[in-house]
Parts: sequence; C-alpha cells; structure tokens
Amino acid sequence: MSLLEARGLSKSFGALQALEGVDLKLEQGEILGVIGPNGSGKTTLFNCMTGSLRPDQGRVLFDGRDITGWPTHRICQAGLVKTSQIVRPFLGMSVLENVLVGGLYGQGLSLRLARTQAAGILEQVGLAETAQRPAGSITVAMRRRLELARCLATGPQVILLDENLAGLTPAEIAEALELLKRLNAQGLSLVVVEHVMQAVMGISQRVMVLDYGQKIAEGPPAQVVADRRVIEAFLGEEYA
Amino acid sequence: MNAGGRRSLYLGLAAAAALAALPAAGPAYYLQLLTIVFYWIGLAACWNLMCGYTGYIDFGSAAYTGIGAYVAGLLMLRLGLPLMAAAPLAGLGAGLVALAVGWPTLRLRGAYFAIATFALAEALMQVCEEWSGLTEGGVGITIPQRLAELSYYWLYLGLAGLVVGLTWWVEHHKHGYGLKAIHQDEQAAAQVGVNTHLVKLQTYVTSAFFIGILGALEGSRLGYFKPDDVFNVHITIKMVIMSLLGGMGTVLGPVIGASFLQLVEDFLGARFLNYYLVIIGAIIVGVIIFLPRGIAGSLGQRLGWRPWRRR
Repeated sequence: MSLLEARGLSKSFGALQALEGVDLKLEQGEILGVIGPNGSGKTTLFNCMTGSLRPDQGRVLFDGRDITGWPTHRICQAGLVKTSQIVRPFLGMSVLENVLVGGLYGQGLSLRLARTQAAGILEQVGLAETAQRPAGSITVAMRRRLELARCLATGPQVILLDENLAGLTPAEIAEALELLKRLNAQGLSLVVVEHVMQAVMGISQRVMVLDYGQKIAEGPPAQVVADRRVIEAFLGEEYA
Repeated sequence: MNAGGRRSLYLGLAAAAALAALPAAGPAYYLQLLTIVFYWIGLAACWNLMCGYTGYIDFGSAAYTGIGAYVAGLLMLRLGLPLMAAAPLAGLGAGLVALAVGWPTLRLRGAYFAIATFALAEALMQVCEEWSGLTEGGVGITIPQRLAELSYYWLYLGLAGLVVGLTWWVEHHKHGYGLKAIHQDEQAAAQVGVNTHLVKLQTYVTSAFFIGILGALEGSRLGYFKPDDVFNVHITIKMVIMSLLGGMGTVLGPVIGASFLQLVEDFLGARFLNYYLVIIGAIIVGVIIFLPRGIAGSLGQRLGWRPWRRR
C-alpha cells in the first residue's frame, strides 16, 4: 500500500471546480513532483490532503488510515505536514522558538528535548547562526528554510512542499535542492509543488501534471515533458 | 530554571514579603485601597492570560465576575454554604459556562469573538434581572457572610499571585509557545500540530475559573449587589485597559497596569472628583501612543529587559 494516497479528490469553490477527481499516490521514500499552470489546483490539492480544506468528494489515506476530514493538527501529528506557499513564520518569536513549536506540539516532545531537536534541525537547514534572531528579521530565503525546519520539527513521514523555492536565486535553489535530496536520502518522502521546472524535474522520481483541476499526465519527468497535452497546457496549442 | 528566572523568583518572594507587611504599615484606608488593587491585579491577570497571549479579545469577562458573585451568593443565601466553599464552586460554575460558551465562540475570530462575548455578559445580566424567583432580580441580593477586611487583602493577594505565577509558568512552558503561536498565526500553528481550539479552550476556562472566584469574593466583600453591579461592562473594560496599559502578553503587564490605573484613579478621584475621568482618559491615550506595548513591554524593551521573552 502507498504511504500517501488521494482517491478521486474533488473540490469546488462556488462555480469554480478547483479539483476534479484527482488521484495521487506517494510511495515510501519517493519524491513526487506536482506541476501545473497557475490556478490548476495544486495548492487546493495540498490543502485538501492536510485538512485545511475539506474535499467535496474523495478520500485521503495516509499510513494505512483514512484521514479525510481530520483536523490539520491531527494530520500533522500523524506525520503529514505541508509548508505554505506564503511563508508564515511566527514573527514575534525567535527562529529557534518557531521550530520549537513544531517539536512540542507536532511530536509532543518535552521542552528540553524539543530545544535539542530544534538546534539540530536549524544546523541541518543552515539557520543555526540565526537561531536567536526574531523570525521577522530574516531574509525571504531564510524564511523558506525556517518554514521547512518547522515542518521537520514535527517529525513527519511526508512533507508537502508548496512552492518552497519561490523567490529564491538560482544559487539558493541549488542549495535548497541539495537539502531536500539529503532529507529524502534519510527516508523522508516528499511531494513538491513548484513553478521552477528544472527544480522539480531534477529531484522528482515521478511527476504529475494538473490542469484546470484535473490530472492530465503522470510519469517519469522526461516522459511527462514530452507529453503533448502538457506542452499545450503550459505553452499553448501552437507549441504542441 | 535559568539564572534570570531564579532572580525573578527571588525578587518575587521579596516583594511578597514586603506586601505581607504593607497593610500593617498604614491606616485602614490603605488596607482597603491595597485590597482593591490586588483584586484588579487578579482580574487583569486572568484577562491577560487568555486575551493578552492569544490575541482573542474577550469583551464579556464581566460575565464571569457576575456568575461568580451570583453562584456564590445564592449558595450562601439559599443553602447556607460557607464562603470558603461557595467561592471555589462559583469558580467551577464560571469555568463550566466558559467551557460551554468557549466551545463554539473560540472558533470565531477578531471582532466576532469580542461581540459574542460582549453579548454573553449582557444576556446573563438580563437573565439575572428577570429571573427574580432565583436571583431576586433587580432588587439585588444581600450576602450574609463577610470576612474581615484583612482576609480579603490576603485572599486577593494570594489569588493575584497565583494567577501571575501561573502566567509566568505558562510563559516558560509548552502551553505558552502554543498560545503565542496561535496569537501570531493560528493556521500556521495548526499546521505544525497545535490543537488550537483545545489550547484556547483550556486557557479560557482557567481564566474564567479564577475570575469567578474573584467575583464571588468581591460579591461578599461588597455585601450587597445587583445584576448591573457584577455584570457591568465597565468591569471588562477596566480589565482590558489595565492589561493594555501594563503590556498585553507579558507576565508583569497586568500587575503594573492594574496598580497604576487603580492608584491613579484613587489619587485623582479624591482631588478632581468632577473631571478625573478626563485626566485618566488622557493618560491612557498618552500611554498607548508613547508606549504601544504597554508600560512593562515598552519600558522593558528600552532597558533591554524583555519580560515576555526568555533568552
């Protein structure tokens, strides 16, 4: 059985059908890329899987359990977390404290253990030097890493990354991808939503493509980019 | 506990010893004034614990002073319970109501929560006014038991100390991080595993429990009260302003804010009876403009002392 599976997820906002019967499967230790033009339903898909939104139809299965309709915090405690597209650090807290919250509540660690863990995670993502600074005072690139660090502190099996590389320079992207690969090598499974195509193609073992809320292609990256419908969705009919 | 924490603790203990000696030092009037100051420190600390830390503005906290006063009053009056048994029961009563009210309303945000809680206090006041078979309605009730003035001083001092101590404890433990995360971004807090509704509810009920006890004791200290004495929106407003003046979401904020406002009010009220409220209004506006984080927050920041954050 897959570690994470979405079956026939549908979600509409009024007349807008944001998701229409989308299936997703993620195996243990895999990196799955999700691409699609703006408004194709990527973020909605993530929100439906992590409890921020309740899907109109379909089920979400994680680690052998049906988690459809569970509240976000419980899904997080079960081991499935997502980073937000818009970074949302707890601005009034220090960088370390931000990560602390994840350990305390996501894993139920004691304060002492959560501190040790948070320091380790900040080291791992390269934020050790900024640990004591207010989260509001660090750069966007650092905030992206903080968002990831906070997720890591909850002890996840799967992280859904919603455009965690947006707004970064090529050098920063390369660095971030290295980090993701390292985490994956340690056994973490990832679903990566990204606009930066090379980034997704480079690290994903498998890619699925969304367009107007539907899955239009799925497979190894090289095969997907050659797909006629994918090119059409991204570049328009004349290029297909 | 780190060195700073230990130092605060010793300072606290020294202050407590001084406070114990204080009422003996002055005339009876000062005992009464100090009693009232500690009553308000207790109330403001309860309000701050919930609202200062989560950012949820409760505009109906007087509901719980009222419930406390009436539950304890009626238990004493109708069942002949002693005050020391009635007051904790009144706290439980307030806590239960907070549980029932908080469950749905703590899902509301911002102004909606403030309006819902405000409506609660007003509605409960009306219930007490109309249900005269139980509460004597607008006639009010006379409490048969009153303790010595010094006992109230000790009780309020103890309760205020307890709530401030609890705030300090919360600030330095898991629960405090949860509350602050909720204050900053509730959605993000849920995403990293905080059961935001539960954390808010626990805090809200605890806060109401202590407000209920304080209300019960104050009811007996007054000896006689009507619904609009104990459910009065001015009680809530005072709790809000005291927390705001002292510094919301800080351990010492309500202590400083409540002492400051109550003492200034007493000082000015005795000298400028007709327009002391105008002066107090100006002081409040001034503090909010020049010390936006409150006295404890802003001055602490300038002195490099941050009571709201542990290094």
